[in-house]
Amino acid sequence: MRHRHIHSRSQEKHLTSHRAFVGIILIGLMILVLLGRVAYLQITDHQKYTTLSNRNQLRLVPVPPPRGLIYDTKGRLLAKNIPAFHLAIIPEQVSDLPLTLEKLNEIIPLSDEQRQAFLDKVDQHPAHQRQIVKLKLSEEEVSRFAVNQYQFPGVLLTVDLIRDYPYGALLGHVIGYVSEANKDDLTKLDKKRYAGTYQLGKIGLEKFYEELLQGLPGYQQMETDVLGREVRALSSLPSTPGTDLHLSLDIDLQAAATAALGENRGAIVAVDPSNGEILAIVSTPSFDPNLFVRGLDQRSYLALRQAADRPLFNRAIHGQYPPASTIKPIVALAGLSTQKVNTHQKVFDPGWYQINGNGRYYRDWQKKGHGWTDLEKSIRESCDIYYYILAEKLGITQMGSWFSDVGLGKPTGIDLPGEQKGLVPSIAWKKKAYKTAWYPGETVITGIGQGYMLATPLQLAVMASYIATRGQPYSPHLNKKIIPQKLPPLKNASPEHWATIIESMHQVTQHPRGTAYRHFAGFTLDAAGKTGTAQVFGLKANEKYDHDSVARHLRDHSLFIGFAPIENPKIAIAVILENQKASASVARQVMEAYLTENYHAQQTEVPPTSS
Amino acid sequence: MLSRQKYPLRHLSPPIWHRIPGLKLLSYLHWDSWLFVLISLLLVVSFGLLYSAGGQKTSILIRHGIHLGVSFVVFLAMAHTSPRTFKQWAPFLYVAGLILLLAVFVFGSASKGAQRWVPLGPVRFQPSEFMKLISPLMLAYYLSDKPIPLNLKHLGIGFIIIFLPGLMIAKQPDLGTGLQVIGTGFGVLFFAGIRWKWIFKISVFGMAALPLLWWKLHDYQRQRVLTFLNPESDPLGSGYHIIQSKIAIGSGGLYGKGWCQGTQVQLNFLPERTTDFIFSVLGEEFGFIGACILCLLYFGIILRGMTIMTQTQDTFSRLMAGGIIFGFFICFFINIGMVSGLLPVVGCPLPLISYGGTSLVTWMAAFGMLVAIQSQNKSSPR
Repeated sequence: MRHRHIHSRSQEKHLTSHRAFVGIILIGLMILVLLGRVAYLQITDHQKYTTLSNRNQLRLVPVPPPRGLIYDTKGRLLAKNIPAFHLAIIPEQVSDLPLTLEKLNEIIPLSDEQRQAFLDKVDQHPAHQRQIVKLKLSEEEVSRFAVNQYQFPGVLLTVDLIRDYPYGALLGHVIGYVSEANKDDLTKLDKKRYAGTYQLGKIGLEKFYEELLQGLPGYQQMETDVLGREVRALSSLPSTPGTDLHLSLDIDLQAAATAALGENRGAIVAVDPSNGEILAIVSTPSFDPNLFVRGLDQRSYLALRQAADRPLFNRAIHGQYPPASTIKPIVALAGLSTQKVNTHQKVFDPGWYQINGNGRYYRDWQKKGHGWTDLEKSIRESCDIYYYILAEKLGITQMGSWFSDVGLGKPTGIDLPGEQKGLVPSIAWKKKAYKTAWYPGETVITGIGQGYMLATPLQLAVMASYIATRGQPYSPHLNKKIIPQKLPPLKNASPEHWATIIESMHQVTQHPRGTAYRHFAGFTLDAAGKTGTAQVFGLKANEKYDHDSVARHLRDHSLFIGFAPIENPKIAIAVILENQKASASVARQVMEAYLTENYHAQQTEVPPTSS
Repeated sequence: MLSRQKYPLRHLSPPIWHRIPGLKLLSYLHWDSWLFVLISLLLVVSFGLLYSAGGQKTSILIRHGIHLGVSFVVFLAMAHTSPRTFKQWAPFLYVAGLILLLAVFVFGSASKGAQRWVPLGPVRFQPSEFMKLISPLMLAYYLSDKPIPLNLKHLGIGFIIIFLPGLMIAKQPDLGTGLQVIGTGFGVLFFAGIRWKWIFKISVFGMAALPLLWWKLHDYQRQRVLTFLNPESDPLGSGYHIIQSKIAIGSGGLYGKGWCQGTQVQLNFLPERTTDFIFSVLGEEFGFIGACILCLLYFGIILRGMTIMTQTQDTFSRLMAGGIIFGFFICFFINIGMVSGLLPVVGCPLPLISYGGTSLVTWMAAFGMLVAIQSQNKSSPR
């Protein structure tokens, strides 16, 4: 109640001095409390803490978690962890480091880089801490060192787990690999979680599921002496292993698909249309991911990177190709649904087409043309002229929206990093990209999947799934634990139109004039398909393409999409062969391998052996 | 008259060093020799400890030097701004600060489980640090024309001014800074003449609210409090910091192990040793004597600040000075209490010593304001 009515300056000043005085006393007392506490620690309990500091030093040594394993659909191990041996030196136990390195070099080759990196580490750390000289010794190096170890006091082998991919190049692109974290990774990593772990997923599933596969490190409490030397291990907290990954991938099918591609450059994506599970995803040529785990020297890496056939390039999701005639079924479906055509209408194909009857000639792939052609024949024989005309009727905007509706021009959402999204051209897109108007001729060639259009083999497999499921496919994925998600259904097409399209695609493999007839000869199960041939370079208006006379890397790409069986399809597939023909026969081999193995659908008569 | 204006009260004739050409310019500088000497000593201590804690590398000293350079410019700018300008700016700064705190929730990047940082071009900064300064500024602005003792309405609005940013910061979650903002606010209220009756009421209410606070805490904050009560219960996890810190301080003894000789520090046992736990480095290497000297330096700064405050006529400046001094003390107290195991680990740097740009800039700006108030006192007739 002392200062109920303070108005004047002097009273305020009085209050301030009073409060400042009380404040100083309070603050002084609190500082004395702090100092009392510090004195208690430093004077009363000094002995106790000195003991703890001197004799009972505890050090936490991280124990890295084993990385989650990766299995295929039948439980076969695709990525596992195996022990690896590293060469390490405890500097304080070695009298002459350079000499020791020189001697070591005779039994285990050490590069100048490795030696320098090691010496740098020695400079930066206390001498009692062991430093790695060389990671991942080969078995031969390990045994050679073991024999000579007595000559090298202070040099030892350390062991930990590293990743191993038993199927090597077969899964290089899909699974990817783990390798040493670089500077960029190190800034982003959660240091606590990666304590003791020096590798992380760089590409493929290893990268995509890094969060899942990397577990939590454990810790071992080590007792150390006053200089920090580890004396003995005390309690420990075990690490939590990473989560295992179960894939829908079938390693047998993956092997069959890889074999079917042979020496060619190309890609195959096979998917189960009933749930979106990827059955096989291949890109050839491939590489052995184990090389990256064990560390690749600069020269071998550059050789891989700069190889003309680009083995590090995952064609299945990064390769963008003109989809060519494989999109004709979608154009036909668009034409039927918008009533631009019906199944009876016929178009005469003389082998060429001109917009408004003059100007540039748009040629059919078959020089003399297909004559009178209806919709069924147009798909069966892949008549170009039919689609030039239909594309013109539909216009680029309407056609483009149908392409988008079957998943082209946007990522499919597969659980792999860095998928390309292809391209569905539009008037607006061209204005932005080229700053020019859209020309009618560009609509015409878009009708046969040429021009600006681009799609990844994965997108084509999704498109095949759209047709196989009559517009209701699932999002493609490799992880079996993912609950299948439906893709946006294609609503605008009626069941009859789907039936027409699918029957026409059936004829591609069954009808003697079908473009894949000879490739599917003897394939007893009904398969639907569509071939395509993508031009790698533009022909002049009247130039004729001759497969054999053109340089290999300029030859046409061959494409195929398809699915089987027609009722309740089990497999939908997209194949691309770069600069090669006959993707249809590759697709047939893959489908056959899968259906025979898993559904015994096509029991090839094994002739009785008379032994 | 002119010379009285230019050279403050006690110097009726210019000091000798003003005769040296060039140095005359210094007489235009707003300056407080006491603060200058004390702060400089703290900064010397800071560089010495960082050199030891950073593994005897110069890189951390260079970065710290750059932070200091920036802080010094801010200090000078603040020292040469009239307290009236602070008063004019107070509400705007306060609103901007609140918006930035909101921005932390929206765009903030998380660091160690808490969102505190706002990216601003290449720099990231913590708005909560600046709020330590801005909310007492706002409170001083609001209370500067209110009659004392404060009535209930003014007290209520004062509380809102304190708790709005305080709780937002605690929610980030950054309990340490939140408590500092709230504590500083109480400091301003104390110097503004809140009645003793109310001080007791608030203390009792605060005690009663503790269980409620417990219920609102994040898991990791609760863990810290539990660890504080019994650090040995979790020696591998959250108790590790405090155990190692106590070993470092306790093993330092009366005289310490010597500069760069602390085994806890040099062998990396002590976590966060350049930031929050830098006092443990001092404790281990310079012992109880070192700790006493450090506390004396802080107490000296606080005394000097209080002196400046009592000499201040204008209510706003006076409250502002009180807030700064009290905030400085709270920060110091929480930090040392925390690393010595007297308070839970809440995450709070040691002002003017810990490594970290935002904290250094904030405190140098605060002392700039104090010098500005002091200069106003010198030039105004008594």
